[in-house]
Parts: sequence; C-alpha cells; structure tokens
Amino acid sequence: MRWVDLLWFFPLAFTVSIALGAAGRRRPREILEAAGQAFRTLVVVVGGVAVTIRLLILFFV
Amino acid sequence: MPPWPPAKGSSVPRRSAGVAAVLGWLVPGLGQVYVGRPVKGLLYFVVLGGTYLAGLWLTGWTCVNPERDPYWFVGQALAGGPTALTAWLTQGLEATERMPTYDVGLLYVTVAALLNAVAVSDALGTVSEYRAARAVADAEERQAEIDRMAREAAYLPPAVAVAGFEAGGVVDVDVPPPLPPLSSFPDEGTAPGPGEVVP
Repeated sequence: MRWVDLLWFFPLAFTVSIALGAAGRRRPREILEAAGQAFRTLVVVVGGVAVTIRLLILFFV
Repeated sequence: MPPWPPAKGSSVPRRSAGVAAVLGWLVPGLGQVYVGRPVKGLLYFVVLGGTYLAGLWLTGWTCVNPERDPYWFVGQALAGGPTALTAWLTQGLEATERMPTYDVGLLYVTVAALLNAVAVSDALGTVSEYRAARAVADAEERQAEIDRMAREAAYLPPAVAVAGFEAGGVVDVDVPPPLPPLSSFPDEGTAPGPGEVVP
C-alpha cells in the first residue's frame, strides 16, 4: 500500500463521523460538532497508527 | 390493569419500535422518517447510500456475493434492502480481473451497511424517547385529575365524596349547614350523665 492509498480512507472516515455524530442528537449544530470531533479522532488515531507502522517498517525491516 | 383515572392522551406521537427497525433495515434513513425525523433520515440516506454506491462502483458492482465473500456478506446484510437488491441485480456477474480498488470498495460497502445498524439504533432511541415522554405526560395528566377530584371532594361529606369519585365528577347535593361553635356545648361538669334528660 502506498501513502496515497490512505486517501481512500478519508471519505470512509467522513461517513463514519457523520453517522456516529448524528446518532442520538437532534440539533444540526450538535451533529456537526460531534461529527467533527469524531473525524479528528479517527484521522489522528488511524493516521497515527499507520504512520507508526510505516516508520517501524522503514527503520527496522 | 389500566391506570386510573385514564389519561386523556397527549401530543407525543406513538411509534412502533419494530416497524422503525424493519423500515430502517430495508432503506437507510427510512426508520428516522417513520419516527418523525425526516431531515436526519435524509442525511443517513445520502451519506450511507452514497458510500454504499461508491463501494459498489469501486468493485465493479461485484462485491456483494455471499458465495465468494461470505463473512463480508454478513456485515453487508445489516443493510437488508440495498444488499438484497444488489445481490439480486448482480447475481452471476463476475469481474474479469481483480480491480486494484476492490478491497477499498468492499470495505466501503460493508462499513456503510454496518453503519446502518447505528442508524436503526438511532431510530429506536427516538421511539424510546417518545415512550418516556408519553409516560411522563400521562402521569402528569392523571395526577392533575386526581388533584382536581380531591379538591372537589374536600368540600363534600365523605359518603357524597365517595359517590362523586365513583361517578367520575361532582355530585350536585345540598351541603348540610355547618356545626355550631364549640362554646355552645355544655361543659364537662354540667354534662348530663347516662340516662339523664336535659330540660
């Protein structure tokens, strides 16, 4: 997998964020805030894990 | 046993959790429309449906196949309507070569279907909110009715009050005159004994 292939997961993270942000909330502002927070969390966690694994492979394999 | 006195109904809508779940399972977002949240239903339909369609396109419309990808199909089945329709429309369709975006597309379709479970759960949560709000409204109505009847009964003799409760309202009766003041009664020392007649 190349670095650019990670871009495929941004739309998926967007979908997951919207779906989870809208669940249990009624006001559009709350939904947007929750979706934004979920998106940031997903990008940081998944991207962080991906970068970490990539660096481990680069340095030690 | 129904609550007494019966509640006179409230403005909170009544929705079936089973119907909401089935509708949401058949079409993403339809459960929200059924429970009275059409905008949120449209949001789920566009987001989940768009992701599902994008995944199908990335795999050349071949990723919904219970024989080739049985474990993925279990996840895809959480979006029952789209998956059944796709499986029926694309049966017998095989890709001539494995597309480089097949894995990503398969992930898109399956994640979209899994997220439909979240959408269905959200619709069921709305049904639960309605149920709780209706219970509170009914309890308040019943308490207000009981308070009103108790206030009316406080001005009536006990027998009449019971009759009024049983009749479900106020009984029109002649209220007896009030008792004389205590000072008009004889003292204890001058009170007549048993068998004595007061002149």
